[in-house]
Parts: sequence; structure tokens; C-alpha cells
Amino acid sequence: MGKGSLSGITAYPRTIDGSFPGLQRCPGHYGTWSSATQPCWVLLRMKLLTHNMLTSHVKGVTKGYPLLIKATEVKLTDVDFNSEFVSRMIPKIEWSVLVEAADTLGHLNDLPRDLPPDYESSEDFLRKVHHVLLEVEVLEGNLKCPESGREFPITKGVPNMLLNEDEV
Amino acid sequence: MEKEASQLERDHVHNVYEKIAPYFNDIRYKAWPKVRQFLLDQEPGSLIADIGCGNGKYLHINKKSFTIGSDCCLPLVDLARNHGHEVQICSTLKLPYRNGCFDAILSIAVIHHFSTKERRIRALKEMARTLRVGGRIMIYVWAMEQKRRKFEKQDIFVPWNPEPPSQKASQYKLRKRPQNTFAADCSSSSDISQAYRKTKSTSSVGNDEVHTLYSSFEKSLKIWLFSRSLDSILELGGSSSSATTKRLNPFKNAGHLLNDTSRFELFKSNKASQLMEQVSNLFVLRQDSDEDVFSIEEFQNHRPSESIRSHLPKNDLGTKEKNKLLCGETCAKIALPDLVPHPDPLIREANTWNNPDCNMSICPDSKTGLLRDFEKLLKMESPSHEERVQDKNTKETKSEASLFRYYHVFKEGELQDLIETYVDELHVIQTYFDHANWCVVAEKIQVWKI
Repeated sequence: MGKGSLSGITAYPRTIDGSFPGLQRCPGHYGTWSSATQPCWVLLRMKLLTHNMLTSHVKGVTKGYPLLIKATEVKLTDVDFNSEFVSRMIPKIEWSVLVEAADTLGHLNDLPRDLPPDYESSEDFLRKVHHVLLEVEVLEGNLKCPESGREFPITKGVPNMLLNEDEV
Repeated sequence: MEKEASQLERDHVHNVYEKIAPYFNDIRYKAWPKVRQFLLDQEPGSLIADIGCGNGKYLHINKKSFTIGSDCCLPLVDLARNHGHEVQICSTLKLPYRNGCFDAILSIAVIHHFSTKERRIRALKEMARTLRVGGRIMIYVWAMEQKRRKFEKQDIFVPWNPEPPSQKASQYKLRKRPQNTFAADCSSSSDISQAYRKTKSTSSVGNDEVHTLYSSFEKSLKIWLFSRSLDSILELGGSSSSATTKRLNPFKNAGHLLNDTSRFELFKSNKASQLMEQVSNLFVLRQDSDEDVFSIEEFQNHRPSESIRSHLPKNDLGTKEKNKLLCGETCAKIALPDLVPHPDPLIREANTWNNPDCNMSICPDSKTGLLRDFEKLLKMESPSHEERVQDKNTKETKSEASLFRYYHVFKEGELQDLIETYVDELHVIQTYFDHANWCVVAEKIQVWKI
């Protein structure tokens, strides 16, 4: 995977308590940089929480957010639920973007499109948010800038948001 | 200028880190306490960004927050990823995050890699952009003023030791010796001989005095060599041999003085371990872990290599002995990357030691392994090509033996001034010196534009 190639954005999640919620074998991804240190099992996922923060910075683009997800492989994982964490996180995210992303991945379920005013007190609601934020993960796919159309494909699970010289 | 600047950074920051990234996986790096505290002080459920996260050593500290790392070095991001962290690859000058989304930002040892003031300011502004109002940022940069070495310029190239520091370096410990008065300043040979005479005048040059003298010699050699090597490598590059010889004169004489008396003392004890201790003391040129950008945790368990073991007496060694031997072995194996000329006295020293006519009471077996290593060390395996570095704009030929990282070291108050003058949206709350770095903690404030 060369530096000049277009690589996608991928985030490698860790659970809130620091454990690894399952490893995914990456086909053909062996010892890219140093066979001594590269294990065969790697994590290749992007959580929707991370996606919520990411934007495109291609030159001339004024609306590079949100990036459109095109996922070819999605995985569900288990993350310990922490209601305080989730309720504090909700105001920090763009709710509509989260809903849209979840919908694109087909994991919207019954998450409301509008944020209910008393979400903090509803554990049921918080659990749904927790699931979408932290447990739905994109393994393969790409992220597309909404304005320029520039795609950041996810190749072998390595994220790359480095822009080329002419895009800066 | 922009193009040259980014080219310099690509050659002397990005490429170097790509090559040395595997070494960052071998050691568990300890998080600095103040940084750790900054992270833990964040409220639960915070969003934190570690810009320039490297191998991700700060990403796991606050388990109640969500920390996202980013770095422009692919192999380092790989390392962080393999530990299960949330990371992306991007440039600090163009962060792929929307405005005001983070509650806290860390930038540890990043800004000093930017080669122009303008780029440094841009990096600061970009990080401030992604911080929410009221959020805090902690920035660490290498300081020009340091305890153990002196930088003569602010823009420098620092060599990276090609030998993996890993387990070997972690055994390295600069032993604390009683300080000799002259140790700090060794500008003339007369000073050294004077001090030597002082120690000689006591009834017998016992082991203590030898150690003291050795440590002083070692310390001054170390300080001198290190300060030179970090600053202008051209001077040592072999171009002006007369100047170099002149500079090395004090040590040359010292070497002789030490040679005559202490050599006998040195070998009196007939212990391989003691020899190695003295050897290692003399040639410890490793940076103090305090001043490394990353501090290194000691390994608790490490098996001594077989070559050393075979030369040991049959009885079991305690851990202390083992450590000394390891130290010596380590010291012998580590190539000193930037020391091109050979300090003559020291090579002569090695040759005399190797002379079988010498009254040495070391067991002959040990000579082969230990002294061979020692000689190799003394020969200061110089890089195969000459290193010519004048200033950052000169084209350099890379040596195979060492990689150079570009740093702009900051003077006291420089970072603070930079923020206060050019980055309106950040308000400096705190500034201090920590682990050879200048640190600034700033808060994002609302800037009203009329």
C-alpha cells in the first residue's frame, strides 16, 4: 500500500474498557512494514462515532461533511454499555448524521430521527444509541466527500486521509 | 519555501519515522505523569484527540473518554491500530475533523517537527479549530535549554541510533557517581591533569578514585561529544581534521593519564564484570531517559546473551552482575552513529589492552568476546558516507548507519509567544518545563470578530 494511493478512513475501535472485542483476520495483510511486529490478526473497523467527526478537506470544498459511507462489509460487535458515557456523548455528535449513517448501513432499526428531549433518562433509548455509535462497525468500503466526490477507499483496513499535493 | 519545507519534513521526519517505527513497538513507553493527569482530568464521556499519536501510547489512558489518534506515519498508525485504538492517517496541517468537536487535544512532541514558523502556526490554528470553546489543549515541544546537553542552534538534526534500542537500551542505567568538581567543564587538558594529580596524591589510587576519574572523564567526553553532534554535524564530519584534533586534545591527554595508572587498577580485580562496568561507564553515550521524547521503561526480565555467559566464572551471578554485563555488552554493540573521527587515545587504549604482554589478569577467554566488542566500539563504526549537514536547506547525503530527524527546538517562552501572538482563539493557561520539553496548556476561547 503506497503512500500515494488513495486509502480510506478506518478507525480501529477499542471498547470503553480497553478490551478487544474480537479480532478479524485480514486476508493477505501480512507484515506490511515489518514482519517482526505485524501480527496476522488485525482490527479493521470504523465506528460510527468516529465517522461522525470526520470531514473532507479537499481544497475548495466548503461542505466536506458528512462523508458518505459506502460499506461493503459491516460487522456487529459487543461493547460494554455505559449510560453516562453515552448520554454525555450525544450532545457532542451530529444527530442527523448519525441517523443517516446508521440508515445507510441498514442498522437504523427503530432509532428516532429526531432526538427526544428527555433522552438522558431513557435507558432503552441510550442502549439503542450505544449500539449504533459503538457496536456497528464498517470493515470494508469507502468514504466519499459530498462536494468533490473524492473517495477515500478503505484498503486493507488502513485509514488514510492524507491529501495529495494538489488537493491541499 | 512551502515546498522546500514540506520536502524537508518528508525526508527528515516522515521517512525517518517510517523506518524506525518498528522499534517503537518493542518497548512499552511510559506516559508522562503530567500528560496522564491532563487526560484523566477530562470529564467522563469526553472526546479527546491525540494529534501525532505515534504508537498510540496515550490513547488508552482515559477509559471513560473516547480518544481518537491521528498521525501521518503509516507504520506508527499501524502499531496503534494493532493495539485496538481508534486512529487515522492524516496531516496535522489538514485535520479531517469538523470544527469544534473535541473536548481536549494532545499534541506531544509534534510541533517541533515543523520546519517553518508559518507551518507551526498553521498547525496550532488547525488544532484550535477542532477544539470546542472551553476545551483545552496540551502541547509539548522539545526545549532548547536542557540539563544534559546544549543545543547551539534551534534548527537541528538529531541522529537516530540504527541499532534497535529495545531490550538493550532498557538495561542502560547511568550510574550515579559522586561528582568530581571538574567534571562539568573540561576545556583544557591542564584541568584534567590537575584533577588527576589531585586524586593521585592520595595514598593509593583505589577503585573509588578510578571510578570517579572515569566517571568524570566519561561525563565530560559525553557532554562534549553530544553537544557537538547534535548541533553541527559538519564540524565532526571529517572536513576539518585539525579543528577536531584540537578539540579532542584534552581527552587525549586524559586518556594517557588514565591509561598509565588505572589500567593496572582496572585489571587488578580479575573480574569480567568489573571490567565491563568500567567500560560501560566510560562509553555510555546513550541519552538520559529523562530527556528522551519518550521515556523508556526498564525491562524487568531479560536473559543475558549467551556470549557473555560463556565467559563467566562457573558460579552464578546475581542480578546486579548480570545487569552490568548486559550493560557492557550493550554498550559494546551500540554503534555511535554520528561520531565520525576516531579519538586516537582511546583506540590506542584498546590496542594496549589487547596486547598479550600487558600484565592483565583477565582470563584469556574473556578477551575474545568482550574485548573484541570493545574494540569495535572504539573504532566507532563510522557511517559509510560522509555526513554533510549545514543547515536545513542544504541537500544531504544519507548515511546508511544513521537517520536524522529534524527538530526545531523551542526557547523558553517561544511557544507561548507564538500562541499569544498568532492564535487568537487560544488562551494560554499554564506553561512549564517537563522532561526536557516546554509545555503549554491553553484553552479555546470565543473570538468575536467585529
